[in-house]
Amino acid sequence: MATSPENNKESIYASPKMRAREQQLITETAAGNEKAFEQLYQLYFSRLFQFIFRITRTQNGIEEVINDVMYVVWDKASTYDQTCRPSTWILGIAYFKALKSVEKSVADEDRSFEFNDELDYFPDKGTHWVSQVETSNWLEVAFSQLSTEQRAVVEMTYFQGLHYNEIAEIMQCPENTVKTRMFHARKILAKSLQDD
Amino acid sequence: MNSKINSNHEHRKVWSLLPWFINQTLSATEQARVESHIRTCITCRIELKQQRQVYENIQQAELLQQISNASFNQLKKRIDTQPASLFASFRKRLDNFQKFFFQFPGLGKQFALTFGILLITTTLIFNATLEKPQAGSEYRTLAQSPEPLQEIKKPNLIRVIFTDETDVAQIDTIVSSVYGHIVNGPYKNGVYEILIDSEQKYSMEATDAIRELRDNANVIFAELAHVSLSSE
Repeated sequence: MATSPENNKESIYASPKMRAREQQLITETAAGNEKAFEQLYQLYFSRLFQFIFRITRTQNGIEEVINDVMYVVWDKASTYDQTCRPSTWILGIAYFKALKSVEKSVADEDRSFEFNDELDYFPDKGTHWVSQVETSNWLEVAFSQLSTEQRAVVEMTYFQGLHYNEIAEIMQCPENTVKTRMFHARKILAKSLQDD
Repeated sequence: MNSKINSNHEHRKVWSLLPWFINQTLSATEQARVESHIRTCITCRIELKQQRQVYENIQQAELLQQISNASFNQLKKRIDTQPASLFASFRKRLDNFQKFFFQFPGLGKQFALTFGILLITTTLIFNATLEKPQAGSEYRTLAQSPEPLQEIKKPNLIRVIFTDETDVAQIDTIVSSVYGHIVNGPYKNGVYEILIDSEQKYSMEATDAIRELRDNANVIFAELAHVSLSSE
């Protein structure tokens, strides 16, 4: 079933009306208006949840990361200069918080393996089991093959509806890097879709 | 030669812009550039079609479903990191169990019912055991002794508690008045065990003695010791 881009949530996120409303909420938040901040929080919760989940690939502690992000928004609202879209600013904060969360979970995983050295004596850890389950969802397979940065680019392009220069701003990298990450990611996505 | 190089450069440029052509965020100039190129480039048209398909599939993917899948995969990974022998042993037992019940259709339901009843009964018995007051921490009567119970040989045994003001001489007088003598006590809780000397049936004599003791102002408590010799 074809999806009309006009009807997508990306279009809603990107609409000038929405942008103006979000800018207003940030301005009021900067002035200490808790109601405005709460509205901004509610407005962004599901969007941030999706964004962070697609980068971290785990729902563990997502609410905590969201609250970390929104705490920064509350604390630094006065520094938002309105030159970029509110979503670019907020997703930029979320991107780095999500990366931190990934790093932390990797470190935790490493530590947990330190206490499981005996597992190395079992040659077949049954990874085939995982792959069997994963094939039930092509997107799951595809996303698991992407790097964190590639997932972020795909998420910001196809889910959040951002332009590559906004993505570059969020990821604090050159625009060509964004395109290169997307180049590799889309090949994997297309292959996974074909294999499904 | 130059035009071929330019064409390749243009192709690569447009090819890299396709995702943003799909999400409609390109500037008007970039959009026109892509539209112009794809009119003549079949490779880019195929890629565009494929990426649109990816985009549409991604859009349709339920986030909750993805979360559920990702969670399940994490669980599987955790299971897979368990020692293989342990897991294999469990799986084997599970398989055998399943095979057994497949041989007898309907037996599974009966087993589930029996198992359920057994589980409830066990839980009730276990709870009943746990609900008994713990010695030292809860109120308890003299009949609820923490000491191991011993069957009594002489049933006309009475437990008595006297007031603090009652001295030893008074206690002796009171005990003698009911034809009894102290066999044990006082314990830490102030209980004396008094054996009633009687040739009659214990219930009558002991009952009379208890009634008399209860009428005495120096006696706080008096009851028949039915099952235990220990009152501490």
